[in-house]
Amino acid sequence: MKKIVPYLLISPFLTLFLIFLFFPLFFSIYISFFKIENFYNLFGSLKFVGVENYLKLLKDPEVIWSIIASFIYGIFYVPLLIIISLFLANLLNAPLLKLKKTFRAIFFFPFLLDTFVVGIVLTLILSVPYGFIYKLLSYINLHNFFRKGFLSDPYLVFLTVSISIAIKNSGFGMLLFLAGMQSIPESLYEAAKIDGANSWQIFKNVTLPSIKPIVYFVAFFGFIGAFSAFAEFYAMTGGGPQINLFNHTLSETNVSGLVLYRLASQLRLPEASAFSFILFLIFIIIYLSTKRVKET
Amino acid sequence: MRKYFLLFICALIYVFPFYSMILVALRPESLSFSMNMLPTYLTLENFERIFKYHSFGRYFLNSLTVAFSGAFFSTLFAFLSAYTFAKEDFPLKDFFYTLFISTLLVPGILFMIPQFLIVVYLRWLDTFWGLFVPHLANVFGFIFLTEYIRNIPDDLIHSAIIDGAGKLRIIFQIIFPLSLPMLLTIFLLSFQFHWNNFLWQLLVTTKSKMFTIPVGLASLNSMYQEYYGAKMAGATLSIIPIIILFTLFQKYFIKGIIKGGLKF
Repeated sequence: MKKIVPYLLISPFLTLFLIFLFFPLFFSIYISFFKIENFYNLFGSLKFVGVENYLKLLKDPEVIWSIIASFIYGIFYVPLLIIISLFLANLLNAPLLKLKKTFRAIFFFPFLLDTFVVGIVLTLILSVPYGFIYKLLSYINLHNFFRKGFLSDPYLVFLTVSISIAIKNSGFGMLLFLAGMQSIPESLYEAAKIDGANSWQIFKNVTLPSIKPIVYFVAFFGFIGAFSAFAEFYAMTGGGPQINLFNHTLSETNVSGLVLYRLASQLRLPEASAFSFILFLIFIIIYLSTKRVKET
Repeated sequence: MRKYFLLFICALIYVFPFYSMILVALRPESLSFSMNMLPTYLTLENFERIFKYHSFGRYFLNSLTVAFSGAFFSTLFAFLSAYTFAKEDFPLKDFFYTLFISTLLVPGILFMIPQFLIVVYLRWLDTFWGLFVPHLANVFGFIFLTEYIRNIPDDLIHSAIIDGAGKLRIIFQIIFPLSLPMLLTIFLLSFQFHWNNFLWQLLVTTKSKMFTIPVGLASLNSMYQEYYGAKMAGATLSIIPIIILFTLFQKYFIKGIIKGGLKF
């Protein structure tokens, strides 16, 4: 009897874990080699089709582009995320700063919000030609560069989304950097000041080296976030604008998250599973390469 | 001085979108793009519209139900099993613990398709079960709680056993009050997770009566491409609960995020 009690206590958690986290991982890979004939008789109606689902995906230019688009987004987004979070943390990292907690709360708060909702809010101020930012730029006569729209100019759209979402999520990195910076002994800063270092030199030679592991951590999570991005594009661009590339008309910001959602909502689940697995392999490559960079 | 100036500018950039969201929500549609940023010409017509014609009241209650049930049950289940892993011995304990941890590094989006498949199979589309049950196993919360409870001295439990307390009494009268700060942190973060679980909610709801706020906002967005008043009212509605929770429990949110982040 006594032996059963621990299992009883863990059973709700364990059951949910096994059904909704553990089993899906393997089942997803398994099902990516099958065709589903009847959803309500899932296990009885699977038909083995080999790698057909994968081939279908890899032959589709839209799918290939979605992976490239996610990479492009990551390449814009991750450095911005790190720079903005570091900048904020460095500003706040002063022992005698007044209102420190208030500023920290303001910078952190947007991180807790739903990306989709924030995206919708941002379409308001980013809209062209009536939105706030465009009008602001027109006061200083810079609006001509942005006439095509921040979210519909093929050259601007990734940059706009990256900056917006990097600002939204920077509070997370900021908190971690701040925690890391506070563990740097004050004496190091004083020694640098006595040697006559300016604030940039202090940041580069004292602060940065001691928080390097956190930089890699934020970069890793930033990349994962960029690769799973869905809501920001669903809200802000809907996949557009259209571009022409190698004789294909493609939706420029139709990132992998959007493709995955579309496959799922059309109930093309084996293909969606196959696409998930491809993404999983990409995540592993990202993980291994950040680990590699970390070690060298 | 220069530092305060920079901080102030940054704070302005962070706050401005939310300020203009609330302003546009409270103004007539014709003034959505007015450059007058002072709170003037205010009206509640946008809120009236989304409550009357788009049942945002229903969406709000749905969101609240989903987020509250999700947070409550996931914290409770994580707590029960965290206690067991921290204070009890049983066969296969280490095996299960490693099993739980192994899924932590897998990005959430990879679970989406198979979870959806299970939800379709169980005929849970357009039900509350489908909206929160698949995300109830909170491995992060479980690990924090296990470590937290492990640090509670065993003597407390032993003396309770000598006094004749049963297991459930030990869990709920001794361990529970002592781990309250951690439980609150996990409850809040998981409430926030379920409140913001947009992609999943979009996938498993098709009928408007099961929409949550962000899903309702998405349908509003496809209806009114160029009209912002109603959309901003919906967005405001979705942000308010998080503002309230964050101002009340800021400390717990920040502690939880730092702890979660620095763990790796």
